[in-house]
Amino acid sequence: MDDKFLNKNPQTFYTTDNIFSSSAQIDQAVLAIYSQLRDMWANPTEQGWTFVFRGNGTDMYDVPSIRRANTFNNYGTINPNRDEFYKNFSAWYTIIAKANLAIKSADLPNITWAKPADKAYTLAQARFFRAFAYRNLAELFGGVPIVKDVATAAKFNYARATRVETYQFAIDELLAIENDLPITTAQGGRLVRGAAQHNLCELYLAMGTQLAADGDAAGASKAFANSIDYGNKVIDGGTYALMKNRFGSRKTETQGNVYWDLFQENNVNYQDGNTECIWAIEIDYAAFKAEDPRSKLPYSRAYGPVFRNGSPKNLQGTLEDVGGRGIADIIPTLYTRDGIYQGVYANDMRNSEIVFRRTFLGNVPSSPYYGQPVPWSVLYDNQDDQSLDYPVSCKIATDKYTGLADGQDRSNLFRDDYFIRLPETILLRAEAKQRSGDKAGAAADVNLLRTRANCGYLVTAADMDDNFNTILDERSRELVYEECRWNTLLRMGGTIAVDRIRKYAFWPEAQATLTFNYNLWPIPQLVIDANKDVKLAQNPGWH
Amino acid sequence: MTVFFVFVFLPLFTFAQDRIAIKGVVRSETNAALSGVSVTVKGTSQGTTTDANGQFSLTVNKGVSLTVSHVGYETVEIVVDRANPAMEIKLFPATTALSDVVVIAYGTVQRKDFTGAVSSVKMENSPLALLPNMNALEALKGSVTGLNVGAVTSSGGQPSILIRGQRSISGSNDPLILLDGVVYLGSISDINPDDIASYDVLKDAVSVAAYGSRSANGVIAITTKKGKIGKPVVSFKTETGIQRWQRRPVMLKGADWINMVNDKNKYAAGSTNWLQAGELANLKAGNETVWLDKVTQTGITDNQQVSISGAAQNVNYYLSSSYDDEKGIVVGDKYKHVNVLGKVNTKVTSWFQLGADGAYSRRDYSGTAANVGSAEIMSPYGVLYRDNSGDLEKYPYTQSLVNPLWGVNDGTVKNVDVYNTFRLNSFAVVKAPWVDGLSYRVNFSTNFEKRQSGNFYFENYYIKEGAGIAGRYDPASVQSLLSNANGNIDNTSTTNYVLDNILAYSHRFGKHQIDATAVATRDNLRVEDLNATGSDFAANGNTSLGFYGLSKATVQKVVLNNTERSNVGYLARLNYSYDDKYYLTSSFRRDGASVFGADKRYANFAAAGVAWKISEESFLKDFKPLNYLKLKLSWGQNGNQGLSPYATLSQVQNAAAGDARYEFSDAQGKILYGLVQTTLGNPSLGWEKTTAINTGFESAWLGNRLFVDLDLYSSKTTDQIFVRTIPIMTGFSTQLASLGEVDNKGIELSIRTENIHTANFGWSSTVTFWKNSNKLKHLYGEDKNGDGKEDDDIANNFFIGKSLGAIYGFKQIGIVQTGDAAYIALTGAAPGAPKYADINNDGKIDANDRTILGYSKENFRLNFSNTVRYKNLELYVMVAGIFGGNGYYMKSNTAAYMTSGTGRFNDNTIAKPYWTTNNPSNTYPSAYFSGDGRFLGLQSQAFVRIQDAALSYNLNFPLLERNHITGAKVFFAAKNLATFTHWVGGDPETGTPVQNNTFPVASSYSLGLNVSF
Repeated sequence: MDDKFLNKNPQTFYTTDNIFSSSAQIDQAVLAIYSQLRDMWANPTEQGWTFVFRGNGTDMYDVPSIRRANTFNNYGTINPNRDEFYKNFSAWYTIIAKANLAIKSADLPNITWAKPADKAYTLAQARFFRAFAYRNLAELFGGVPIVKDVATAAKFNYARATRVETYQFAIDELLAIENDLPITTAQGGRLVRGAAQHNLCELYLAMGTQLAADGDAAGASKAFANSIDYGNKVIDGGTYALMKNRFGSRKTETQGNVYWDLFQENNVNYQDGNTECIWAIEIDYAAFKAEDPRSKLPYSRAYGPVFRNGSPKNLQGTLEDVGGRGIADIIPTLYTRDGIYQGVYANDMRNSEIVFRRTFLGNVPSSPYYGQPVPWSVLYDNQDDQSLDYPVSCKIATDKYTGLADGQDRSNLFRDDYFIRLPETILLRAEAKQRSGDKAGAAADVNLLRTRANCGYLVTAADMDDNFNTILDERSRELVYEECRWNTLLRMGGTIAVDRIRKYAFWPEAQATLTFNYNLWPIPQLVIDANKDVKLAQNPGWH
Repeated sequence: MTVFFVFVFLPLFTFAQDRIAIKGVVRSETNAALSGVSVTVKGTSQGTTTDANGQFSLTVNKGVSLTVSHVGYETVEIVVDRANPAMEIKLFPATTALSDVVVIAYGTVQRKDFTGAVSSVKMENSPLALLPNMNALEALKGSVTGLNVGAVTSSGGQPSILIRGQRSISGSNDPLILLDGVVYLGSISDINPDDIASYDVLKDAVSVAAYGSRSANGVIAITTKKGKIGKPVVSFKTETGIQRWQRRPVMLKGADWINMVNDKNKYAAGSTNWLQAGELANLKAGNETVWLDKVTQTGITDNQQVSISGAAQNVNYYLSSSYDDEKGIVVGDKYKHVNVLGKVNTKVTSWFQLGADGAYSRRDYSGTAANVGSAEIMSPYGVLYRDNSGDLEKYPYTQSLVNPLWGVNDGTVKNVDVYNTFRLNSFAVVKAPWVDGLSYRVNFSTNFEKRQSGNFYFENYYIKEGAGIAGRYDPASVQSLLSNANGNIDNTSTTNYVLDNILAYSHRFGKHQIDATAVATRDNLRVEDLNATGSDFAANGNTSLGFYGLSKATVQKVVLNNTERSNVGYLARLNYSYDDKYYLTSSFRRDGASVFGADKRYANFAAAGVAWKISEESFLKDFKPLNYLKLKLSWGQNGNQGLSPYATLSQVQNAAAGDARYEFSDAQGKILYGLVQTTLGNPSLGWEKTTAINTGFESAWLGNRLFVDLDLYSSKTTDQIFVRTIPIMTGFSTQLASLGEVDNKGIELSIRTENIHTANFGWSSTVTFWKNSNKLKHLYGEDKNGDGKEDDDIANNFFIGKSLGAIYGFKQIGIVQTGDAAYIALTGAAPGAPKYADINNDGKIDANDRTILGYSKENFRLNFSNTVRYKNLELYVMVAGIFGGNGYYMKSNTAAYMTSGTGRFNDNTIAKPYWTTNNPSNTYPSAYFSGDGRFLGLQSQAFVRIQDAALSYNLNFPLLERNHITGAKVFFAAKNLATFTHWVGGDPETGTPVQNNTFPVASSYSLGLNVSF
């Protein structure tokens, strides 16, 4: 009688023991990963650590004068205790745990699948995400513990795999599921085979780079060859192609160009006819209004300039004429906004006024530039103002904000965005070619993008310098606000990351305080402390 | 043992009839007239109480005994055998209430016969009852050794309660509350402080062991008032007070603020170009807003209470009703409380007794309070009003920081938060007629609480931010915000019941006294929560129905959340005493709890205690300085559940109740819900068990002028449950886990003295001191690093052999100065950044340089209270302190040192002499230092405060008597008069830093009147 009285089971939620009863629920477990990754790319709640993941503190992005407190560029204060590292590290392991749960539950005896292919696809997505997480972890933190099973109890003796082993695990996973992913799908946003192949291209490149650094030239060269192969599969496989002509919802407008079209509403998904889109981040305004407040790109707000603070005598307000309601959580460095378009590189569709807007008409009646373009010499009158006033990419602002009638305030874009766009694959292949010694091939790949962008200057093998400056610059031009710059810089190894940070950081602190070298983020101190039974080695350079 | 003297002057004799009229006056030992004294004919319902002059009259049968009793005084009995018009009775103060009855588990016992550690506090007619406490437990603050009562910061708020230190790390540390002897599972806020007659705080294992599983955190027994034999007494109390913010921070103003912002952002000195248009206009016009003035007000408390009580031979009743109305210090913080209580207790026959009480309480916390935190950081030149008619500007400096008053009184938000609680307690006692001393008692107590809470955000709450958007407040703009309007209503019903079956046997033979008790108890608590939300009213067209229009919203959602827990317990207890000198208590209890997995559900708890009234022994009886001395020793086990229901399970969130949503391109607007495991369960968790030894004495000296009570205890708690930081590689950052063993040691000392004792003047003092220290003995029993010692757990701040609450980190040794070239080269730290010690001297500052910097735990508490009486005037003052020292009672307070690091470039702060090249401070970092993940800014929370003061005057003049008023008292009471501390920020006890949205701890002053007739 007492036992019955004491048996009180939860009535309003499930546990891992009783939730799974249908295959739809396995998909829900996978869906949770899509949702988390959208948060990590779009950063709808403006998390500081996510801005770091998205590039704050690299050669490309810094913070404005009004947010010096959020700097990730003062190495007097950056150490393994910083929360940003722990949160980044944690995010990937939560994804791995979610993937492991889906993988394990897919095989539960009580789950019925309509057809084997459904199960294979669901599993393929889960295993893709697991591999994707390990790729990111290995690029940012180096070799990490490989966890393949659902944790049913806490464990304190995880051991680090090497960076190569971690890359290899991700490669093996993707190879195993490559063919279970469909080539295309009707559900824009779902994973397709190209996403796995793109990641294989990157993983082989990353592994080859590490093998080369480890002195394994043969292994490296094999890896680079594999990278090129997987690049070829994506680039030349017939599914994807660079968009070279005007397309999509606004193609008939006189303003704009094809690069601009890539970032307009209803133009992002492959299903919209955009053959550059390999994997898209789905944003849905109707869902946003209903009950998914994180279905938005807060780019105008988070990435936009604050002219009203930086040049209040000439520019005020938060309308389209100043790029919307920017608060500049992070800002482009001078390198990103001006440096990469110097000299022969100026003539570039990606530097065109509609794509990278540099003309702002004074809107304060008392301004000497009222109705006239405010000169950059005025906007850049001191470094504080220069940090707040910068050109506006068409990727972060628009002339047609959705939601104004519903009280939206030009903070958010409601269009889809890219996890993977074909140009990144091309730049990965270019790098693999260059690392294989084929500088001409690398230049040709870079020129695929430059040709599409109607650039006045095409690069040559001579431009393909050994520090990969040309490729990194081209990445900045093509993939600004898209690529994960830390991944790129740290994946490349050597002193590329620290050299570029010292050279391009907006504020002087980086150069003054980056007195040591590193090419990996530190293992977060809390991870080392919590894993108490096995001491995880700290990455070199960190103290 | 009889330390009272009765002077009865009986000058007149009347034998003429059996019924005789008597008159008398009752005075205290100092000859002060005592009003409200109960004078009853022993064994009958007949009786009366004394009036304001201490006088009474009665007509009684010859030969009866009169019982004269008064709270705080020894009760006396007088045989009436002659009529006397001028009977004069003197009452003497009870000596530490030794003869008082204390509430123990499932019964009561005389204090002097009790083997455990218990502190009792009388509320009835005590100065403590005069203090403007809105919560029943606040009155205990500082009065009971070993009991830590926290600070209350909001209107109608509840203080935290901790008995004898922290036992449970993650589980509840709340003590078990007994209300009139029955486990009370409701909210303490529903008990009207004015209905309380006394508290008994049970602290040691033997006292609480009878509650086994529920008792590890101690037990507070609350006894409510009863009727007294005599004519019905009507009491009326009214009290009105004000509240103020004693230690309100002073934020920077004017040029100081501008300089600070420039310094922290490295702007050119004197620049103001970062000010927004509205701010510039205010700067130009010299308009500044002290935002803390705008969000605070003089709080007002109002309390009315009326009660009617009385008793006759076989029935006793107490009825009361009270009304509290509180307007807090923070604008918009409000509280209203209505409480009604009715108690009846009746002896149906000589062997059958029935009692019932019913209570109703309505607590209303509705209203939106202003945001203190944003008032502390807001630009002093920010725009408070958008127009001249006093309409608020939502964004005072056009950036995202919202006006701290937004939503408070502007009609943009509606908040509801109301609790309605019904309580029913009933009991029946049957004395077995065939066995003398055997009785059976059944208690049934049930509580039903219904809380309705919710917020409704009207469309105008969502006024757009930013300058340049014309007509933001125009009706058309506001209407376009209808899709943002949203609200929720949360209905929570909490039902609980407790059922006790108690079989008691009491027998005395010769010098032997036996009391045996057997109890079977069970209880159940069920919470049903239904939260309904609605958002987007664009399609509906307006929000004029507010909450009640949720069903008109385009998006509607319902979330249910139920929890239930049950407990069963079986107790056997035997108390034995010999010759009223030697006492033995022993008990055994078996408990089961639903919160654990099926195989961890039951546990057994045993306890035993002995006491020796050594002052009764012949060898001490003639030792004059000593009046009373009892030695006691107890041992016992008790348990704690340390868990909320279902916490051992691996929980999953899914569907709309979860937090994972996504959409795909093929179905616009269709939200797909993810499924996420949210916790890593741990089915191995079981009972937290504490085994404790308590020893001590209670004593009275020097003719009952000095009372010293001392308790020493030592306890061992095993399998404590806590939230453990685990490797994130599991996918989870924390898991509930249990750790080996924590040992607690403590000392509790209470000294009371009657310093001066004359007819017109009296002065008594009380000192209470208690100290608890703990030591982590075992953690997980692992030595993975093979150094022969058990491993620490750095990630969780647990260190073997050290106290809980360790603060582990980098030791700060000042501030980096311009000349510290080597340190700057080593660390990259800029001048003005905190400087850390290279503890292991390896030329690096890294994780190996961390050390224990201190402990969050306090060191000891010391309280000193005095009562001074002059004629009818009485003054009571308590000074209370919590002390640190030796690294104890430390807390990180970065806001006290750092100027930057808040996230916004222009956040205001308090004045700080921050580091500059011209002011090379070694304490305050530079204005632009914004944190490094290592800087803690440790500060001591230690403080001393004048906690309570009450001044009362007993009115005593003929006019009152003519109006049949038997007692009248006016009083002035104050709480938290002044605080002395080095803590920078808010109240030291709450450890609130500046720039924090925690409400202040109020200083309150009140004036009141008690009248009874």
